[in-house]
Formats: sequence, C-alpha cells, structure tokens
Amino acid sequence: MSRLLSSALSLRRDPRMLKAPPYLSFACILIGLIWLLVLPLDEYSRRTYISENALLPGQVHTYFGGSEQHVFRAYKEEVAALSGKDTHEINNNIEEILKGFGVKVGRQSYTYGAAGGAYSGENVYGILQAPRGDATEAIVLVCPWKTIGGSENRVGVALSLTLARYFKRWSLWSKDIILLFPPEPKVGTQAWVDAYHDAHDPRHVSPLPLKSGALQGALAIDYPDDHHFSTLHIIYDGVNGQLPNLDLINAVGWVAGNQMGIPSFIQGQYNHQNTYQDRLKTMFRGMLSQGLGNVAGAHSSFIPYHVDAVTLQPWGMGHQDEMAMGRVIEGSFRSLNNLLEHLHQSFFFYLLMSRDRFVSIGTYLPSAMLLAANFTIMAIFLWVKSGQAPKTEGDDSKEKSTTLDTSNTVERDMLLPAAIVAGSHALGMIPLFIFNRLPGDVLPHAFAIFSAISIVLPLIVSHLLTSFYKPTVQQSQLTKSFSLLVLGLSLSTLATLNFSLSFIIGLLASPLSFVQPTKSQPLRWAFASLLSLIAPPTIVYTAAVVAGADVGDLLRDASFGWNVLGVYTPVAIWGVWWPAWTVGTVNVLGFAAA
Amino acid sequence: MLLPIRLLAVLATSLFLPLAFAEHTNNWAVLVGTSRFWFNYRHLSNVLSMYRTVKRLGIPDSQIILMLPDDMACNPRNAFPGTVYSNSNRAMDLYGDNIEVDYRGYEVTVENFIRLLTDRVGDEMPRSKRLLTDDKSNILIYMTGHGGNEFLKFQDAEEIGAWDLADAFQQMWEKKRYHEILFMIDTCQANTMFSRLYSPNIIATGSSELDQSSYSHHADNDVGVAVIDRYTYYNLEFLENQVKDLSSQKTVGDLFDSYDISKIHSNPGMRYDLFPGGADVARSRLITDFFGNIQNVEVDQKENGALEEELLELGRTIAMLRQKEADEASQYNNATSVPASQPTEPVKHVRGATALTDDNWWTKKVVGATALAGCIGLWALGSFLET
Amino acid sequence: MTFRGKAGIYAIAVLLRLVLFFAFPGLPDLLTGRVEISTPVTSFKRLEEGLFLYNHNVWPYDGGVYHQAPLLLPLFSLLPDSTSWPIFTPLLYILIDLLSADALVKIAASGEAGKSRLYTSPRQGKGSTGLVIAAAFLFNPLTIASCVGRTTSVFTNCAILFAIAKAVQGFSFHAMVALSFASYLSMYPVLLLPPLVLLAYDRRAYQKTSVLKFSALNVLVVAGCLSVLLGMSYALTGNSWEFLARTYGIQLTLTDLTPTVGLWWYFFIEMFDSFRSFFLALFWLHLASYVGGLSIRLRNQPLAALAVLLGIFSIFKPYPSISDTSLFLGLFSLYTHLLPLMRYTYVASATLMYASFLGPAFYHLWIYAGSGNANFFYAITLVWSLGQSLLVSDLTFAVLRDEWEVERPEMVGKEAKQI
Repeated sequence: MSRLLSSALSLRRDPRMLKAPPYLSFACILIGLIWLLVLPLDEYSRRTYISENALLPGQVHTYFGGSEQHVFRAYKEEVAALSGKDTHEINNNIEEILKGFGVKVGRQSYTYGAAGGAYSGENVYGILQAPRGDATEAIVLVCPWKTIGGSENRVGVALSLTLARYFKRWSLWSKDIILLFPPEPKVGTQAWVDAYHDAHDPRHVSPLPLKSGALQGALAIDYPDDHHFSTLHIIYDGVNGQLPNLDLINAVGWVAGNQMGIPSFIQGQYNHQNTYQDRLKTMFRGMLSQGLGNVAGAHSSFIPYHVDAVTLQPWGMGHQDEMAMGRVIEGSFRSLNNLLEHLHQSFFFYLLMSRDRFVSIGTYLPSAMLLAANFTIMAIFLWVKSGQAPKTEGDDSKEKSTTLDTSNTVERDMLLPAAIVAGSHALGMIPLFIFNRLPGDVLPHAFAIFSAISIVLPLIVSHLLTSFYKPTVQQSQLTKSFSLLVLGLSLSTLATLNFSLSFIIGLLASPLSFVQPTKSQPLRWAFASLLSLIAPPTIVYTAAVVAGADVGDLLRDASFGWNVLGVYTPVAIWGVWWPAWTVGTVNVLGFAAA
Repeated sequence: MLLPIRLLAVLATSLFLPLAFAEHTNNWAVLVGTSRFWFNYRHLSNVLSMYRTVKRLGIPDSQIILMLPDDMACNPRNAFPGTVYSNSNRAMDLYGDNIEVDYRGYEVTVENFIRLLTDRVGDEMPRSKRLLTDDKSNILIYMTGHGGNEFLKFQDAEEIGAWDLADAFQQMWEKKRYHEILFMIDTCQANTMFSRLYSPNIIATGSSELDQSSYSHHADNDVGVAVIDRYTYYNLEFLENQVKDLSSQKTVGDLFDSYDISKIHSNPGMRYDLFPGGADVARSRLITDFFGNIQNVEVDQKENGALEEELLELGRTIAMLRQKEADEASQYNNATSVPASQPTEPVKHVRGATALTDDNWWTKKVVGATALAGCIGLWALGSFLET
Repeated sequence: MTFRGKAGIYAIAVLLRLVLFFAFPGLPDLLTGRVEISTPVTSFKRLEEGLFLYNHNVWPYDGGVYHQAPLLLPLFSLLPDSTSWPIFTPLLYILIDLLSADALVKIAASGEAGKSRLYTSPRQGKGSTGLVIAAAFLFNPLTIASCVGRTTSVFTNCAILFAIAKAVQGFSFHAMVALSFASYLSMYPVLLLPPLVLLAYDRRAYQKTSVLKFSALNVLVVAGCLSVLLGMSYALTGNSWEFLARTYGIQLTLTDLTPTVGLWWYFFIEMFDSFRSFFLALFWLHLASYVGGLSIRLRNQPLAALAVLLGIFSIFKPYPSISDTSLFLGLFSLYTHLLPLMRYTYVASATLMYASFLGPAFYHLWIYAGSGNANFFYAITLVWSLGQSLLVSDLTFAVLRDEWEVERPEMVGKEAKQI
C-alpha cells in the first residue's frame, strides 16, 4: 500500500505528466461529444413511464361529445365573427360568454418595451371555482387568440369556451379551473403569470383583480384550423431551457395515445419512425430549443414558476375531430385533478428522443461536464507550467531530467493576467447592454459594427499590451489559465441550470483550449483567423444563414427575451463566451515578448 | 378514590358467577383502513365492504370499531358524492346511511390502534372508541392498505411492524381481552405481517406472500379509480353468496378453500399453529363465529340453596362496601371545606396587544445619542489610560 | 505606502460601493435577501424590523425576528429615516469598510506578521505592502457584497480588526474595549481573548509586568466593558434581562434554522429533540477547543494564531456568512510572504470559486425552480467549508513550517516528510 502511494507520488514529478493534459483535454471533448451521440441507443435511453401514482391517467370515461358539438359550433360562429377585431372588443365578447355560464372574469393590461417596439395588450381570464373544492389550488387552460404561427386560434378559442361550459357542469373538481385568453402566446401569458405571483413590474404590467389558489399545472391549446387531425404535437420547452415535469408529458401522451388512440410527437418530428437518426434529430432539436431558452409557446412562461405546462397542437390530416381534442383535454384535466401536490416524482431534467423515450440527467450530464472539465484541466496544466522555471536554451537536449525539482517553482506575477481576464469579462457588459437596449431597426447595423470591432479588438489589445507592459511567457500562460478556469467554472454551473446551452457553448469554445502563442508570425495569424471562425458574432451570423432567418429578427428575439421574459442566454454568450474568446485570441496573437 | 371501591364491587360480583363455558358470548370487529389519498379509494372500499358484511350478519355498531383515514365519500374528486362503491356496477353504496365511523382522518394512527387493542386509553376516551372486549369475545380484525415485509404503512407517514402487532395481541391475551381472533389482512406481502404472532387462539390469513404484491380487482371508469382489491373481492364473493344469514354452517376452512390463486393473482396464506387443536379445529370454526353476532347464553346449571346463600353473602358485601364508600365521601367533603376567599389558581394575566405609538421620537434620539456618547466615552477612557 | 496611494485606493473603493448602491437600485435588497450574506443574527432586514418596533415603543424582541444586540437600535435610530434620506446607511457601511481597511493597514505596517517579539521569520520583508493588503480587502468581492448587503457582521469585523490593530500598537486597553464591543455584538469574538492578550503583551507590556498579571488585568477590563455594555442594554430594553435569551440564546440554542453557508443548520433540522442539547454543546465545544491549542502552539506568533482562529470560526460558527470569510482573507493577506510554503492555494481558491458559483445556482434550483432539494445547496456549502478548511490548514502549515525552517535551515526548499 505504501509502495503504491510512494510510486503514485513519484509520478507527480515525472515530466511526462506535463505532456498528458492537452491529450486528456482533447479526450474529454471527444468523449463528451460521443457520449451525446450514443444516448439515442436502446441501451442508454429508457421508455417513459408514469411515476406519480396519483395521476391515474386514462382511467375515467370522458363524456365530452354529443350535444357539446352543437355548443362548439355555436361558439365557433361567434369566434369567427370576432375575426380581425381589436383586442378590447374580442375580450369584451369573451367576457360576456364566460359570464354567461357563471364564471368570474378578470382583465389585465400590460405594456412591455423591447428592441424599440412596444408589446402591449390585454388578457382576459375567468376562474371556474370548484364547487366542492377549497380553492387552494388551480389548474389553467390557456388559449391565446393568436397561435404560435401567427394565425387566429379560432378552433382553440371555441373549444376552450365549450370546455369551460362543460367543466362548469361537473362537481368533481378539486381545484379551480382558470381559463386564460391572452391576445398572443408570448407576452400575454408572461404578464399574467408574473402578476399572479406578484412578481410583475408595476410599471409595465397591471396587477390581477382576481386570483385563485396555487397553480398546479397548465395546458395551452394551439388549434387554428378545423381540419381533422391525426396526431398531437406536444411542445414542452420553457423559458431558459427549464422543462416541465416529465410526468405531465407522460400523462397527456398516455391519455391521447392509449385512451383516445391519438399518437403524439415532439419537437416537430411528426414522421418519427423510431430510428436512430430520428431520435438523434429529436434530441438535437430539443437541445437547440433548450439552449436558446426563448419562449416556445404559451406554456413556456409558467415553467419558471414551478408550474408544469405544455402546449398541445393538433397536427396532420386524419379523422380525429375537435371533440377528440376536447376529450384529450378533459382526460388530462381529470388526471391533473387527481393530484394532491405538485408533480415531483418524475424527472425535471431530461432529454426526450421521442415522445416515449428519454434519458435522465444522470445519464446525459457527464457530457457537458466533460466539456467544462476540459477547460479546467487545461487551466490547471497552464498554472503548473507557469510555475516552472523557464529552461535556458541549449542544455535541454543533453540532460534528460527525470525529476522535477519542486523547489524550482518561481513566483507567479498574477496581477496583469488577472486584470486582463477581469477587464475582458467586464467589457462583455457592453454588448449585453447595447443589444438589449437598442431599438430593433438599428440592431442589425449595430451588430455588424460590433462584429467588426470584435475581430479587430484582440489585435489592438495585443499591440497595446506588448508595447506598454512587455509581458512574459509566464504571464501569457497565466492569462490563458485564468480565462479557461473562469470558462470551465461558468460552464459547469450553467450545465446544472441549462445543459444544452452549456454544451453548445462548450463545444464551440473548445478550440480555445488548444491554441497557443507561437513564434512564427504567419502561424499566429492563421490561428487567429481560425479563431475568428468560431467567434460569437460569426456564429450568430452562421446560425441566421443556416436557419434561413434574418439576423435582425434573431437579435430582436434575443432583446425581447431579455426584456420581457428574463432569458439569460445573452449573459452566457456576451458575459462568458465572448470574453473567453477575446482573451484566447489576444493570447494567440501573442503578447509574449520572448 | 371512589372508583376503586366500585371496581371492587364489580369484581366481588363477578367472583360469584358460575364458571364460564368454552364458547364466546360476544362478537367484535375491528376494521382498519390505513391509506389516505384519492388513489387509495379501494382500500377504504375494502374496509367498508367488510363493515357492511359484519353488520349484515348482526354485529351492532357498538361492537364494531371502524377506522377510516380519509374521506372518500366527500372527496371533491368523487363523481358520486357521498357514496363509496366496491363494484363498478354501483349496485350498493357502502357509505350511505347508517354508518358509524369511530376513528376518522388523522385519528387513525399506529398509537391509537395499539391503544385500542390493549385498552390503554385515558379516562376521557369515549366508549364508542374503545374495544370493550372480555375473555369471551371473538374478534375479527381486518386491516388493509399498503404494506411490505413485516410492516404496514399508516397514512403515508408511519408504520406498524409485525412485532408491534404480535406484542399488542399478547397484551390482549394477558389481559384476557379475547377468546379467539380471526386476523385478516389485505396488503402487499401481507402474510409477513402475521408471521410474528405468538399468542394463542388466533387464526390469521393474508393476501400475499413475501415479495408478492396484492392486486386490485377492477376499476370504475366513472369514479376513475380501482374500487376493490382482489383478495377482498373474492372473500366478499364467498361471504355474500355462501353465508347468507346467521344460520349458515359454512366454516373458516370453506372460506380458505374457496381462494383461487389464479383469480387472486397472489398466494393467500393462513396460519393455524396458534390455535389449540391446529388446522383441523381452526378450519372447523364457523364463519359466523367471527363475522356474525352469535350470542351464546350461559345458563346457570346449579339448582340448590347454595344460590340463595351466595346471594345473601353478596348482598352483605355490597352493603358493607357501600357503607365504606359513604364514610369516605363524608370525610372528603369535610376536608375540602376551606374558606372560599383564598383563590386556588393564580389569576391569569392576559396580555393585550401592544399598541404602536410614534411619540418619543426625540426621546429615542436622545437615548441614541447617550448610547453613542457612552461608547465613545468608553473608548476615550482607553485613550486617557493609555497615555 | 504613500498617503496618495492610500487615498487613491480608498477613493476608488468608496466610488465603487456608491455606484453599486445607487446605480443598481435593486441590488442592495437583492443581496440583503441572500442567505450567503444575511444570517438570522446579522440580517439588515431584521435590523430594520427591530428598529421599527423600537421606534414605536414595542419591545424589539417581540415577534422573534430581531436577534441582534440591543445597542444597535439606538445607534441606528440616530440615522435619519432611510426612505427619505437613503444616503446615510450606505455611507455608514462604507465608513466601516474603510475603518476596517485602515486597521488592516496598521497591522501590516507594524510588521508583526513577519517579526513578532519572540520570532523572526526568515521571509520577513517579502510580504505585501499595506497598500496591496488594503486593496485586497476593499476589492474582495466578498467584502463588497457584505457592504452592499448591509449585514451587521461588518461591525463585528471592524471591532475585531480594531482590537488587533490596537493590540499591535500596544494599546491594550483599547484593544480590550474593542474586543468587548465585538463580543457584545456577536458572541464568538470573546474566544479571541487569549491570543489577543498575548499579542498585546508581546507588543508593549512584556517589559512592565508578568504575563499572568497582565492577562488577569485585561480579562477584568473585558469583563468590565462587557458588563457596562450589558448594563446599558438592560436599561434600554425596559430593565429586564430577557434580551439575553433572545440574542445570545439564539446562537447557543440555534432556534432559527434558516439556511446559511455553514454546517449547523442542516444538522439541527434533522436532529431528534433528545439529542439536540448534546450536539449543541458538542458543536460549541468544538469551536472553543481550537483556542487553547493554537494559543499555546503559536505562542510566538499570536497574530498568526488570531488569523487561523478567525478562519476556523468562519467555518464552524453557528451562523457564518461570507463576511466572516472576507475577514479571514483580510488577515490571510498579511501572510503572503508564506505563500511559497503553501501547497494548496490553487486548489483551495478554485474550490472556493466553484462553490461561490454553484451555491447560488443550486439555491435557485432548490427554492425557485423546485427541481432540487436542500441537499444540493448543503453539498455546495460543504464544498465551501472544505475550501476554507484547506486555506486555514495550509496557512497553519506554512506558519509552522516557517518556524521549523529557522531551526532546520538545511531543509529549506526540500519536501518535508509528514508523519
């Protein structure tokens, strides 16, 4: 045992130990990536299952149908008559209808400003009190007037009104049912949920006149046209990549699939054949959506408040009609009704490969952690290297030193490197501030100017440093060490909150571990150009091109997300990734006067 | 002080009764549900079905202890409010009228259950909540809920172990609180629960073996939950079809033989070894000995003058005891005639709510300045001393 | 260090704090609400509550929210109302920070860290200048967060630093008065009495009296000051001693189990009642047990003993916060001449940085997102305590090794075999 220990300790002094870390880093990145690629296989993913015994999905007969169809048609006519009218008039009508069957109604107005535009509107909502319940809990049925795609949610609204009238006639609700009709699915719900929890900004959002109990769950309907559908699209992404409890998706999928015979799918993969490619595609789409963290539907704003919510979108051409959709909602609500507490038995962190295949956080987290660890390994390696005495030229060929004398550690001059890293991160506040405050039409131009500055900035900084401070090799190593340490630190923390964002940034920033200042000038320029390819502004432009969207739209969405929804993706990009990239490029351009 | 005298009187009376016959004279039933929450509806309907069965066979409410930990009938999720059904045909409402629940809601705890069995309760416990059995009582004890290896979960918060139960039964035996017990339990791994019993005169039966689950029978798709468990369902089937009234001669053995493992989907178990005479005698006991209310009458056989003499003796003893009681009562009354002017309890001062007042603003500032001056003075003292 | 340098550092520090206070209006309240900064016995919000009750003639300890020393109330009530004049409270806290930094500078300028009466370090003179130490303290994010979060432990920290500074300058009476103030505000500084007395003795009084007489005198001084302060509190809280149970009693019995960055709250949440008193006594005994050993072993360097003790207290006291850590780091910076002897600085700093990033993340997951539980947050506080323990033990190792190298000069630069 002691021999093992002493041999392990003597390994510490072996100079070969210092050669290993870069390879170790590379291995970490590779394994991290491959880890993600093997997840869709059957051995590593699992079928979904209902964890909460209280849910009992699909165990009740649903009676929505029959004469309700006539009521639905009547409401559909009324809704069609409101087409194209302004929000206030629409809300008046909805209020009349809701009051007509005895539901208490409240209204709320809001005005947000983001990217120079004003997002204002008025929500109308009704509270259906459970006759025998005690009003301490509530479930929400959200039906925005406009769908996610921008068209009018006609069938959805009519169906919600019919369902409301239908629900009112049952006395078996243990929770109040709230019917929310925001004008559109992104801003209105956020304003309502913020005000419901008294977390709203009083300058932008007016408070709610009526409230009920603690929200336990929410379903949103997105149903523009009244064609007969075949499958159900479940949208579950929340703001900042937070996901609802898996049991909600399981329960809705069960009710739709096993009880009503309507298959469901996720992430737009309506043609999922359960092959490896389909699973991988679904997973990547989910990761992209989670990483961007923006709002995916009317349900997204509920999730940060620990209220599980999904949006249901009927899809495809088939033979299921709106009554079937109504029964799906009825069955889901009956399941939610059975709950005694927030869903907590199933997973909050998961990656779905298909509607019924998932991996949980214990299985997928190591991939992002490995990516973050690779930066930490390089940081430690550079720290140790910076502490070694510099070798004089000429005498390292003959004497192969087999041990490292630990007393050879030199003093580290840490002030300049720390200042560079701290300064660069502080500088990151500027693009964050600018892109969240500028009006929308100026944004693309400002971004273009900023990208140009961003490419040139490392050159300027490098030139200034070499002229004024004459930094040493050790300081260059320390700069990179500190920068990578902060990057690894931030990405590990981010991985616990938003796995996909951490993974994406980690992957895109991984070349920063390996580039180093070299002696030859052309090689330095080559490295710098390569790094420019993975600069955050470049990636943003590339993403816009690949997605076929306008850069201005992307930026406006980002600004909207920050100002209205509290999305923190811009902080990760401009406050963590961009400073790390800048310091890395400065380092590559070389400011060592050796 | 007065009570022991009365107790002595009762004891004296009982001493002179003729010898008891080896038969039970009264029947009791202890029906315990241990689960709460809506999705455990079937456990309560199990208990309620047993309740209705023993009531049908004559045991009165005063001799049934019914423990229901949750209210399924009035649960807002119940589509048929005020009812509990054990069958999806909804033919019979088990709750309805004429029900007496003795322990309800959070009163159903392990401690209360054990206190009930051993009768270690305080003076304030009402009679309806006590198991007032004697050594001639046959008791049916039925328990259902979520269980495991030698434990039964009470209300999702605590558990009772097989040893706790065995010790409670032993206490009952030592206190002569039962004649014979039929212990029936319907949970997962139920048979482990009676594996530790060591008191005589107990027949035990359970729904499943170690590492086996017990299953529900069927669900009602309008109530939305499973409404009865398999083991109880088949017990009830036997009891309703074969034991129609008190004259039924069906035995415990017949009941046990009716268990069909392919229908119950688990292995029900029985335990006869605690019964004197073993399996044969145990299985020959009638169902109505436990589920019904047979009142065996003990007829006094002796027809001689010794009876009058004994009665006379008894009368004299009672008179003497009464006299003693009267003497002691008068003594007590004399002792307690103290002057009424002295208060016997300290008067409780009720503190009213303190009123918030905003005056004294200047006082506060002065106090503050004084405090600051005091601290500075302390510091200055130091400077003075240090120089 | 020059006056200009010092003034420059102080000016930048003041400016930074003023900017943080007023350019980000939500920041002070956000920081005051965080459990890493505010504890039940140091929270500014609770102080405001107590102040309100005091100003409205209600006994401030009614309601079980305010657990801090009574004298803070009249002193704070001297400040104008914070809603109409919101500048004064920030100015007070900035002043306290400056005074603490000044005390640190005085301690550094005395050179006690390198050369005490009984011991001279071979690395004396290689330490940081007073300017660097002041900057390290004032620009430490932990110090800034404690200042902007307005926790009242900054008063205790200031008093402790004053006590040490005065002792180093030889003013033992002042030192004892300052220590009494610190002990009065939080209980634990009274445990610093032995090394402080030794420090004061070493710096001036060794010529005049014996150690025993000097210690006895100083203990009397502390006792006297404390009794004066407690007497004032007695008079202030309506002539009753009940405030003792509500202030010091809370720290002794840990009745308020709000999460902190410490180790105690989680333990005592899950403790069975019958064992509570035993474990409370054990934890307090553990805290107090380091005083004797360190004072004896580090008799030659009482300042080092104080630094190590403060590090230990910031880990093991009942309601620690990051301001205790900032105090320890302030004293730690006096020993930068021993940095080459320390073995784990990188690991310890990285651990502390990781814990300070992951802690708020896991707290968010526990309290707001609801997808984590208390174990997540407690695990990170354990990592935080681990990082601090590494620093404390590394400092002790370095101090002891430094002493050892004076006896064994041939071992300079070589690995020491530890048994």
